Amino acid sequence: MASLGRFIRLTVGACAFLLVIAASVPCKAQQVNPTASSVNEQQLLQELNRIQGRVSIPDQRSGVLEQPAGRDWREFRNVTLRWIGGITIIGMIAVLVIFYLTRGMVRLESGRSGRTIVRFSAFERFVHWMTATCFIVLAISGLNITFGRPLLLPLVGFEAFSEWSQWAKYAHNYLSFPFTIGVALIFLMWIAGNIPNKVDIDWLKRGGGIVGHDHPPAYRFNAGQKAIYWIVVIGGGAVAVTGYELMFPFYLSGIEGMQLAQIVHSIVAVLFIAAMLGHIYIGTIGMEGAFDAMGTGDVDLNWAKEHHSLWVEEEQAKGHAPSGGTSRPVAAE
Amino acid sequence: MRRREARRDPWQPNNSVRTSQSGSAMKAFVAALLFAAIAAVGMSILLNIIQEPSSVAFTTGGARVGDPGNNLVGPNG
Repeated sequence: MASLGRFIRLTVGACAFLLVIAASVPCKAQQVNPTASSVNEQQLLQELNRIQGRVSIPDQRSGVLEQPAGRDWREFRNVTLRWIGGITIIGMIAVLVIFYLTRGMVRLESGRSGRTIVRFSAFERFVHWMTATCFIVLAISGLNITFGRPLLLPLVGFEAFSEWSQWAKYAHNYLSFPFTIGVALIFLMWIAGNIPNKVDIDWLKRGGGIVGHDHPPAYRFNAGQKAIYWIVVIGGGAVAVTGYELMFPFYLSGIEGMQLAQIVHSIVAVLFIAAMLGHIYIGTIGMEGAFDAMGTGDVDLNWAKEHHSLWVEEEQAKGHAPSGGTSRPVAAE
Repeated sequence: MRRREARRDPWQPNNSVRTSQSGSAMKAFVAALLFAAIAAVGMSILLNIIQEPSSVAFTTGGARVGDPGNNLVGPNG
């Protein structure tokens, strides 16, 4: 009797269990998964072009989780920029080497007269050299940011590269201030002599005396020097503005603006470096007597007459320069 | 001596003038380097005074670490 009772209880329990299971199956089949049907990350990204949340730290901008434009920028920085920079700078060096081997140094045709004329004052040379030395440090430290990892790191190792890059970055940041002061002073100091005029068109048509073999007339600054001036003023201004936008993040723009600033900064910088290589070439081994202008500040009168004849006439009229000049050539030292 | 100086062509460089010109060139260059260095160091000091370090600017009081730059749990952690 007791076993019959146990059998009945077991049967009833089993039936009840089966009933619960059977009742729950259709209910489960009809359930909706709220996570599966909600807007997912990919849809948000397509609609908003970024995934952004909220964070508890003071800097709310750190809540940006995904920003696909960053991938395009990274591709530019790691690949495209290296190609642009490499081709531009190595290309310019190659052009200058070929030019030097074919054209050689542009000589003083009438020789040195032994008489000099003041070309640049001490203050002008001070500003030039301050800007130039800052530019050289900025260029080397800037190129290290783009090319250091693939080119220098394998040669010097991680520790040395890390130490050098840290100091290069400090130099890049802080020397930007005297560089910017220099660019501003150059703009103010030489703007009067660098407005393009008709003489520049003739100078350019005749190859400026460096491509061609004659000496077209020019005032204090010829068309080539005016080009360098405007490259320094506009290029220097552009790298300064975009550089400060990067140095002081989020003050002027968001992350997209900073990515754009980095692209402009780097492209202008490599073009600037290439242009300055040309400037350094002409000012040193490319043209006899040119370095004196920024060295001592005085140039030989014959040099001035060959390259800046209209300026010499102006200076002679003011009594700032000796008359004559070609009658007493002396050997170059 | 004074007469000889007075007669000398003012546009004609001689050795003493050339030496002083070289000196003048060096002065402008050295002054440029000095000014650039002073301006750079001055700006670094000024910015360090004005700006907060990231360990202060971008953390709340609860998360601020006592010795930034070491690690979050201290040197013995």
